[in-house]
Amino acid sequence: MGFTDKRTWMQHWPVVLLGMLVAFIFLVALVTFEVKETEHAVVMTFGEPKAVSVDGATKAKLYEPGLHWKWPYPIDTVWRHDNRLQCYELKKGQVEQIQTADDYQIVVTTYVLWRIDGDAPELFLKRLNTTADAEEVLDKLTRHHRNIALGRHNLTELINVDADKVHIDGIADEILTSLQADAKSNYGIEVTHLGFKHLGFPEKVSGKVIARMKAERNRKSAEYRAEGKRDAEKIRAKADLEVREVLAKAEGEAKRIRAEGDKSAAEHYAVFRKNPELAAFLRKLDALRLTLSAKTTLVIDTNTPPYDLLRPGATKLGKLTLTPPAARPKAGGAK
Amino acid sequence: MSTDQHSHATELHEGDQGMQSLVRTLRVLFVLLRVLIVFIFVYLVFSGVFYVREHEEAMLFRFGALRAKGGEEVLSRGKLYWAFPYPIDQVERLPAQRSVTITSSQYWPLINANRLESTDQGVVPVGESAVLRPGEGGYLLTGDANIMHMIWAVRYRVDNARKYYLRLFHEPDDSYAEQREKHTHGRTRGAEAIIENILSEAVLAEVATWPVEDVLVLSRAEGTNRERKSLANGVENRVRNLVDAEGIDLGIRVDEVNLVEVQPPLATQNAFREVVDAAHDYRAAIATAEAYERRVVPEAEGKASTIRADASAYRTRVVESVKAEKAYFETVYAEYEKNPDTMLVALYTDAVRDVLSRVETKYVIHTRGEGRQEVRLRLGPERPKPGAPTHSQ
Repeated sequence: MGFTDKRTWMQHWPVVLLGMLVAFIFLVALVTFEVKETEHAVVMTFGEPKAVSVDGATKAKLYEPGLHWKWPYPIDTVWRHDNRLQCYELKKGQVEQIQTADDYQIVVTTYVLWRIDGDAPELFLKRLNTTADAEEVLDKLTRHHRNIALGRHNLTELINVDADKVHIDGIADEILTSLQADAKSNYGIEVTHLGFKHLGFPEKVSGKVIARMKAERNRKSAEYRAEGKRDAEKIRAKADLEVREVLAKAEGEAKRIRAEGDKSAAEHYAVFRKNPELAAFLRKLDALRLTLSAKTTLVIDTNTPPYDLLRPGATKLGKLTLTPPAARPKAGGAK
Repeated sequence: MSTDQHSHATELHEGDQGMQSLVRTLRVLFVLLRVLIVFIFVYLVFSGVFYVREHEEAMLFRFGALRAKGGEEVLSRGKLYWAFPYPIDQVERLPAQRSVTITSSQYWPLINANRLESTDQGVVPVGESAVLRPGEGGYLLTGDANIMHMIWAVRYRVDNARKYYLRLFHEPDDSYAEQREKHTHGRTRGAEAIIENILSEAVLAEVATWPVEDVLVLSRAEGTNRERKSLANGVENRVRNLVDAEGIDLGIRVDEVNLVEVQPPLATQNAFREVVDAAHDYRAAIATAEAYERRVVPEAEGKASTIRADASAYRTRVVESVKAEKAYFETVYAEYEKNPDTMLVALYTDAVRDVLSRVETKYVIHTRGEGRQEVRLRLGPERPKPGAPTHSQ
């Protein structure tokens, strides 16, 4: 009939090609496997890892990333595990108290970075197989090594105002070192980092810590207020002292200046020694001029010149007084 | 037979017809299939073309193995590449230049933040009396064993895509339900979990060396203490060191570490506020005292200058007046030497005249020998009339 002849066969080559391609892909998929850059793969023949001999020791054969051959399913199976670093933190709700060397109860959470040991994946495969198993083991191991290490250290090495006394990193390294050896040799887990992510006190202690914090704060407030009073008083006292000093200095200086003035005045007084009576007389006249003003009420008797003219016999010149008697000025209320 | 033949022929005829229509249908189908195959082929060819977009880096994997193109494992931007379709080739795109911020609130109480503020109406807020249960609602311990709640954030960029992708586990894209799970329980295994944990580690180690005053900037002595900024700097340095540390080496670059929020435990908040108030009081007391000092001292200085000036004025006055007197005396003395009597009388009368002419009210009393007189004066508010002397015996 029509499509059995050669011409028709030729006509349908793409379909045939497609069919062959599909069959080929199936076949290839059956006998190959892919190893990703991010994973380790071990081929197991009837459940037994394919081994190679390296330096006399048998090890599981490691496959480079890429496409590799294997026998189809029931014979060969491929076990894979991610080879990248992953994070594991101890499960929540499983925090436990640890006693430090100085008898403090603390609660600590740590996390680890780990990956499958690339040199011996068969150990991991044999002992653990899955990530969940690995995490369970890590949980156990970390707790163990952590509790031992923390029991050797004081709380003051974990928290301290003096930064030089805090050895958190050192303690973490200490835990890491023992954990690394244990995890690698027993489980084929390579732990690359361990860090603390929470550090606290047990419930009961935290209540006490809070009470202490309150007390500390209250003490601090009282201290600030008292110090405020003290320091303010200091400043005031200092200011007052300064005021007194400044004034006293000024007074002293003033006294000195006045004395200086008096002294140089006294030098000039020397001239009066030529005739002290005359000097006294002139000064008296001055005083008279200065003390009597328009508002003064003056009561004088007729002995005082020039009012001695009012006395009888004033015309006799010889009887007139020349030396003035003491004039008595009186401050008058006249306005 | 003939009927048989006839019927057979009819069947044949009918069969032919059916076959022919089948063949026709199949032919159409084959043509369609061929078109489809060509389309798929063309699609496969063109779908393999790709380029690296801005803000991302890409790597090409063939059968899972990293394949370098043109000598570079991490493909560069601005070039066209071609890859075989899946499952042969696979292109991993990574957000490389984009900044990622991870906020860690694991040191923050789990209680609803709105209920954290203690109210003044005497109502004890939730958590006021509650103790902090380990594991739920985190906190940090300061160097002086105080409990502090904090929220920290780190901003970083992927610096080395190859390292970041190939060294660190990445959690596969999750379904909605898993994302919700993740939201409640936090990232656990992947790269972001690692970064968050590194941040936590750095924060814990740094805060463990700080006294609570400096963390909360409660100290009143400004400038002498380490400031909050340098707390963040300390954490940032630690994060940077950890990120590049052997055993971690993430291939990311930390841009910034921020202390988003810090708060003492609820039960102690009033006490902490009180300290802040007290610090304010302290500063206020000092400020008042300083104001007093600033007022009083200059005042005293002013007064001192007045005193000095007065003294100087006195000196000048005394000296000058004595000088004047001296000059006057010398003149008078010269005259006096020449004619002692007249000189004195002249001076005296001059002075008395001067004075008496100035004085408005004068009483002249007549003296009888050396007898006593009684003088009564009216010294009232009223101005006494001049020239009306009260005069009696």
